[in-house]
Amino acid sequence: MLLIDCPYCGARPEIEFRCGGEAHITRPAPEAARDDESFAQFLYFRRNTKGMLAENWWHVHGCQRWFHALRDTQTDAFAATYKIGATPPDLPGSAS
Amino acid sequence: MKPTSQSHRLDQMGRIDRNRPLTFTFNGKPIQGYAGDTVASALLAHGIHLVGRSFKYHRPRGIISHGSEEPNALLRVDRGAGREEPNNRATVIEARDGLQVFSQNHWPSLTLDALEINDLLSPIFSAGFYYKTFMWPAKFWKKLYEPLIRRASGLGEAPGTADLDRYQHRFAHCEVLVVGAGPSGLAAALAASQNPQTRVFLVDESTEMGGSLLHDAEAEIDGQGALDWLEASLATLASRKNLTLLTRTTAFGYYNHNMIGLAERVSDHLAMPQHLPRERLWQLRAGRVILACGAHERPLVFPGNDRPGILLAESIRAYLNRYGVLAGQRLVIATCGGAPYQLALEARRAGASVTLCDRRRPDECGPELGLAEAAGCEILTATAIVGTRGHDRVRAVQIAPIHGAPPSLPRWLECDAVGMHGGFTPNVQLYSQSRGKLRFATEIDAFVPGDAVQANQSAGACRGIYDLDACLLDGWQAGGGTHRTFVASPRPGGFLPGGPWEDATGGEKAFVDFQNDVTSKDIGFAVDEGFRAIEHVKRYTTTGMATDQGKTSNMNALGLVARKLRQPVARTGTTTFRLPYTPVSFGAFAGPHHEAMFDPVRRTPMHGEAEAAGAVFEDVGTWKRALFFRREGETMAQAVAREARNVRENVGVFDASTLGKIEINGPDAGAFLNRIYFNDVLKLAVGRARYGLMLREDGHIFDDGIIARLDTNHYHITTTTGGAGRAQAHLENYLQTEWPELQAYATPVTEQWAVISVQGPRAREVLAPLMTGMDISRAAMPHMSVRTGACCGVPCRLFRVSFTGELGFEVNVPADYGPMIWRAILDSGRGIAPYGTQAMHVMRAEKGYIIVGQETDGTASPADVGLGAMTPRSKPDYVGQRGLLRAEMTRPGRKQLVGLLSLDPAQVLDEGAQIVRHSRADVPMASLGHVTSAYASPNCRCAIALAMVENGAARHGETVYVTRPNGWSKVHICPPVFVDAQGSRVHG
Amino acid sequence: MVEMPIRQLPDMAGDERFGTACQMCVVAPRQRLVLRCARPLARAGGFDLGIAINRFSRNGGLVAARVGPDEFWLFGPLDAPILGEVAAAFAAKPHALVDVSHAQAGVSLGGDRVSEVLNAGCPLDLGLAAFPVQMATRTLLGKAPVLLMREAPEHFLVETARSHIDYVRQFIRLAAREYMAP
Repeated sequence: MLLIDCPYCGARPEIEFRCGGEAHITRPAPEAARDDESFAQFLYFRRNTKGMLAENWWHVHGCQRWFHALRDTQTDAFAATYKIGATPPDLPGSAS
Repeated sequence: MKPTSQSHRLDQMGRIDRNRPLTFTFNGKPIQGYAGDTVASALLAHGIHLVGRSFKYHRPRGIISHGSEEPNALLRVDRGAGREEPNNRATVIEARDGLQVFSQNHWPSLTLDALEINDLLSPIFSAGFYYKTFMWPAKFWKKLYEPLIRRASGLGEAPGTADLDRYQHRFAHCEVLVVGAGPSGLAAALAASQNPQTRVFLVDESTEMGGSLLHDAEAEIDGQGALDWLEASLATLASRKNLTLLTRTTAFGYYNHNMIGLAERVSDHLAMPQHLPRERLWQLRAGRVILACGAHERPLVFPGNDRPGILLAESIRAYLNRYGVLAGQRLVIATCGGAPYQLALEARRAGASVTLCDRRRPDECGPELGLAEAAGCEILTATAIVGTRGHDRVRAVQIAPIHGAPPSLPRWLECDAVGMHGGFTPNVQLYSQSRGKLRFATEIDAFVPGDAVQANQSAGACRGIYDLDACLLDGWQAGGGTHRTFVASPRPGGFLPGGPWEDATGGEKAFVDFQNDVTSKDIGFAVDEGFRAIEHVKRYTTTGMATDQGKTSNMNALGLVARKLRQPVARTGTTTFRLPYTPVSFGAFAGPHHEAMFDPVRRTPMHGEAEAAGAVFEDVGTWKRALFFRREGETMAQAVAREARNVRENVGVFDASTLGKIEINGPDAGAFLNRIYFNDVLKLAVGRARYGLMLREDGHIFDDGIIARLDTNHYHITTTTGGAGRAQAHLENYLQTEWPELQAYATPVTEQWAVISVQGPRAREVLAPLMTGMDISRAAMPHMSVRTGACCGVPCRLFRVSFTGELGFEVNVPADYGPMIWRAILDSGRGIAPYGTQAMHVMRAEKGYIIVGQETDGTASPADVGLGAMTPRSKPDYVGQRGLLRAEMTRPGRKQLVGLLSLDPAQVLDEGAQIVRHSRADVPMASLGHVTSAYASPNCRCAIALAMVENGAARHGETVYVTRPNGWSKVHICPPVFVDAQGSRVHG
Repeated sequence: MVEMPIRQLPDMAGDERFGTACQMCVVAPRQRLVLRCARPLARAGGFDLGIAINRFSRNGGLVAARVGPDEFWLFGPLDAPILGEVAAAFAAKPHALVDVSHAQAGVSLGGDRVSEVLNAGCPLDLGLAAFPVQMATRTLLGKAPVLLMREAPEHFLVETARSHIDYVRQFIRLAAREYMAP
């Protein structure tokens, strides 16, 4: 069971949370007259990274806040968690 | 039956308590033992070695080990009905008065097993046989071959009755977990628990702590006997309040972020367990883990190495020193290293004759050689066992010089027990589960922990350290201890690495995996047939895949493969270790979460009232809802018909409390809801309500309900029963992550309000006398409005809404008042009667009202279900807006909501049935759609149905066919409404 | 026509005791309010709201638990005018104040093994360092979402949804069973 560092509550066990999938996917503005293909990208296509992934988590059985996390999908190690609206932290050795 | 004597029990020696004798039965035969015995030690005390039959070949098998790695001695334990368990290892079962154990996998008996014929037919049953045999004729496989093979092979039989025992769970946290309470683990725990602020757990799978010290009879630690040191250390540990000591507890799984699964056997060994659970599953989160799991001894691979009476050498030593049992009087010890020489000395002292067959040349041995000779042991160096004799018990071994030694003829040695030592394998299972990397240590011919990935470190034998003083120091340092040395008796070593050498000669099988009956020849065949990767060899031969997970077989298998491929073991690699380390009962995993406690059973405030009125309940998610109310002598169909007719003719009352309710507050409450819902919200006036659809971004419907405006910035919305949590999650998600600038709050109030729905032409007559502070007349309160006031003196939110198509109200009162209001409403006469969810379903279908999740399946848009008229005229943005514009959502041919009327009015269709153009069309037929809801309608006096059909809206009047289990129904497509098509009754 | 409102609480029998390990008492009916506000006042209606997330304050019979950055659960006696007073205090601020008095029920647990009993289904570290006195948080007990509050080293309060209270009580009974006198 993962141990997740909620930015509001501190370290909490995985069963208090729900994963919300890949983070930082921008919902297209209503006026953007996008073609169906790029709207499908927003709806369905995800990076599915092998390695560090930015994703959303919801502390449903806790503070009930959403937040972001950087998780290595291979080792399940969390590099960081950060609040909605905060900029993703830089990782050592990461390409910006 | 007279119990056999304990012919192999010594008068002295052992940690058993001879003052507390006990008797259990083995295959019905009484077996005597003492407190502290395992079933295995007591059986061996009686000279009983034959305890089972092997998996495939049904060869006679005996006890091999003294611990949880035992592959052979699997017994059924019978503690009474509902308490039987197969495949228990005799070396782990604690002997207890009244215990009944039975051998497995034989017919008609253990000593006379008809299926031993498999051993003769073994060429057919070699590894992978089921890929090559029993293939023709094809239909025989299911009916004949598979059932026969399953009956002929296998381990125990699954119990046929439900488990009567109780199991519990516990979550726990500690700063340091030490796994294994042998010398390294004890030292680690002593060091780590010095600081009283540090919470330490020390766990061991055995009945008492001490590990190898328990049978290391003559060892000394720091000037005192090892057992005295053990006793003193345990006393120290027990006195520390920051330390939790658990015996009979197996660390079976290493999970993410240092969470360790422990299976604790709490009460099986107790005569009077009282209120204790049988087992407890711990989920322990440790700051760091110290793995002190020890090492397993390796068997030797030689022809006939599986006869009863052939054990691991260290296990013979354990039976001698820990249980006071001498496995045999004429002992042959086959070894490739110095470790079993200690056993030789001790066995001599206990009166056995001892012959050592050492694969090493004299110049490769150490001082242990001279000591053993002086004690009267016969020593044959550069010698190996190449064969054995004896059916129920080993009678003799055939020995020969090893390759390169001066040749001589093989000869036979008579014996009644054999101890084999093929080296030690550090136990890296838990470490590997933590995803740590292994490295191969050539000097000890074993894999040891390399770079750890999680916060753990290994200490002692499980990382290849075998000397006692080094083990103690390693554990002490791992526990954070400093400034300390240990002085302890040396242990003879001199292990000759290189793996098993013998190729099976003649027809005699040399076993690698005892539990799955895998021989060295099988491994050879696998490589010959092209399986090179160790993972493939494992699966093809099934070596290492039995319940013992290859603890005594993996390294030998690996050695054989490496030798055959002429490559180093390090390059051949090792297979993945998977949890559980040893089998864990299903009961332990289930814990308290089963039967009535599997899920919370949720009841509404009026549940008791409904029960009293004869309700039959159905499960809706975890809620209990009244399906119908049975009167004397009624069938369900009759009750539902009566209820649905009564609502349209008089008035009915219905419990709608389970539907989700959410309050939306804040200056942007309306703007927020306007973005969430498909239809317009901003123009909804205070005191009015409207039906709302929630879409996902792709434009598909995922929930629906009522939006009611209580005040300028105060809304009350409802959701489906099953969708309440989902809708709340949806709202919070958008508020927090998408539109945090909106000042709106969503507060769930599902359980605050009991909801009593009153539906039918006489609904107002029933309610008006009960209401105060609200004018509910037709003019003052139109359809789709909301008022607040009091009902029977308690606060009330009254909604005029209808899911039946009749004049209807939903009375919301704070939950504790629900039963009282329900009774007051029912007491009002006027032909009122309660109705359940089934009648509710029928009536809403009569009106063509959809149920999200029934008519929709996540792929329906508002237009598909005939709600295109709700499309908002000018909304800047809402969830699903862009999705609805996709070409897929607007293309012709999409499935649309229609009604179906069977030509035979009594024929109720099957929900989910497929719809086709004609019953005689060519197969495969094209599906036009499916039936979503189907009922017998009392108000229409015929069967009705709703369906989703391609281009449905354009097909009214067409005849189509619907599948039945045995044929077809002919139906007409019609508009999806069967009663009051004008919708005028609801405005009554 | 019914004269007096009859309040029928969820069926809760009396107190239960499991040795010295755990005593489970029913929490009497009380007022419960949910307050949401992005920038709350420090005090309102007698409640001390100037507390950290996952902590609660007590002012006589008025208890405020901060369960999220902008979310407070307020508890008070049945006759206290808290709804009106808090609403008045927050009138000028965007907020939500919702009465959920009937939506929940609670049990009070005390005894020398209370943490172990709760840990049968609560995955949190209940040691005093990780879960001090005055801590209040939403979490799970088995499959029931609960609000867990620590009043004293060996005294907890468990609040849960009305429809979950039967499950919560039975869960605690099963967990505390092993501490019953033989």
